[in-house]
Amino acid sequence: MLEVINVSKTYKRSQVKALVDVSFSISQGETVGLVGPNGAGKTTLIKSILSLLIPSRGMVKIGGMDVQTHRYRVLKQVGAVLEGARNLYWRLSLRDNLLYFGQIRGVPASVIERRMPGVLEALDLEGLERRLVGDLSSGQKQRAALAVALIHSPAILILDEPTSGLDVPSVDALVSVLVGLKRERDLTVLLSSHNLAFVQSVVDRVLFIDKGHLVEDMSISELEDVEAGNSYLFTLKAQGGLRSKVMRLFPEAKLQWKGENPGIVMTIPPEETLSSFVSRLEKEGITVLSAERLNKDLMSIYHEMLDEEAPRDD
Amino acid sequence: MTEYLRAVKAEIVREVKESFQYRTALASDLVVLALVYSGLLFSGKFTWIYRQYGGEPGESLSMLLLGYMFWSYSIYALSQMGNDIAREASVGTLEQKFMGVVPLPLLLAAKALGGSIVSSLLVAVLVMLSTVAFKVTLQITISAFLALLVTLVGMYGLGFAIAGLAILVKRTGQLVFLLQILLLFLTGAILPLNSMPLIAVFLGRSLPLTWGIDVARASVAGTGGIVSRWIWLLLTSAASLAFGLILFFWFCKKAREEGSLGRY
Repeated sequence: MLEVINVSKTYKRSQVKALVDVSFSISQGETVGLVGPNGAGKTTLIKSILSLLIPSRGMVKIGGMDVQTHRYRVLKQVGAVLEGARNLYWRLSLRDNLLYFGQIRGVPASVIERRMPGVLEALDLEGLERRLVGDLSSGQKQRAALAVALIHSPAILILDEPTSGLDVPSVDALVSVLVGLKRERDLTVLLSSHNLAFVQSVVDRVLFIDKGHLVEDMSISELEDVEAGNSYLFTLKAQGGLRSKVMRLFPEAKLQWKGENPGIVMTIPPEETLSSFVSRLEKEGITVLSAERLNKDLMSIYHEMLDEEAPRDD
Repeated sequence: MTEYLRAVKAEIVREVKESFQYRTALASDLVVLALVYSGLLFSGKFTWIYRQYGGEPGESLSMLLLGYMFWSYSIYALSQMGNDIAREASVGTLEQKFMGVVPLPLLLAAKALGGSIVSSLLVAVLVMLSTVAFKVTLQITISAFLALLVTLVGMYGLGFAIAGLAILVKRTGQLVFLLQILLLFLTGAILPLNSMPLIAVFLGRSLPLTWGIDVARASVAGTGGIVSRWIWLLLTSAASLAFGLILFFWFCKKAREEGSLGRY
């Protein structure tokens, strides 16, 4: 449904490499979260997908069509709510906004009128259609922007920081809305957010982006494996050369040197149990003094990703 | 084609509805127009107009009103395309417009049409005020009305250039204000262009507003040489539209390269 192919973007004026050779694809009906710190390149990526930005290299395809060359045909399939923007005319009613944005996206007014009750109901905005958007609460405004993004029945919904400025009940309401939309409409969703609990509760897959690089692409089931406790902090002892032994056996392992007890953080492969893994270590002359199970969530995985240096831009 | 017409209609309706939501701004626009017009009537002698175009001396003020009306439409065009686009960029609706299924210039042209409806209401109130309070009536011919339409095409063309600039650099308010003032003095609306320095005459004659006012006054006064005036009006208007659109597309491309479309 959505393909991002080797997209790079360097801003000429500042020479900032905002995106470096980013590639991924999203299948129809999939909900994907885009996670990364400020300045990681999330908004640049989203604007490239929406053709609001011209990438320096690479291509974005939606439904098999290049968004830069077939912009008008492609954008019919896309609804978007962008970060830090009102996205709507606050001095007009919600109904007027829906009619206006629906029509500039090619939908006749009569069809919009027919769809409006369903969209408003799905977003818990019934009875508010005659109110000026500026008079709605923050949560209602965000849902109103979502309603406008959905009124032309897009196949893809793109949300840039949809929880920005929302309180906890409004975020919870947004989660319910997105989960409901996913279930009912088979929508493909790409969303970016700093609210990791929100991301985790709605997505099927998470893309970690840092310094313009896509550093990890992890399905929610992989994430759940990690969360389920396959990760341990082992405290180890060996007769000389512990570091070299460990690095030879587990090149991916993270060594932590705390006082006299060096430790490694390891995720046990799915085919092994804790005891078989410990036996394997002991065969190599490494004594396991303790094994502490690590419960991770998206937040801790995110921080681990950020601790690892993103590839250099050359 | 249907999609385009639908989008154009939606944009006109939205522009008119939204303009009336900003009633205070509309009222202050009207007050400024009326005050400037009243000031002109009380302070100036405009007999040069009837000397230039012929007709009766008493028609000078009516000719002044005609030129002032052209100027009022034109400054609204510039302000709408410059200041409004900058405002839309700041609130994020410009990006949403850009994601529509019709080209942005078409939506902006529709916005201009909607804006012309609103400015027509302002001008109508001004003309009524002029008739009731100052006994200065507006005389208009079909040719003068057509000249107004052609002038507006050219002025909205220049508006496209300012809209493009607003998309790229955002703050165009001061520039728009300066242009509005210059248009009052450089187009023969209130001062004879021939009495200006050569550079001002050259600049003034390259503007469709100057030729629009000239055609309208000549048409109302029944002055000769109307054909050559019309040719100049059509040429300057077409050139302004082409110039404005070329700059608009160029500024839009730059904004998309720099990622500044919609950022404020």
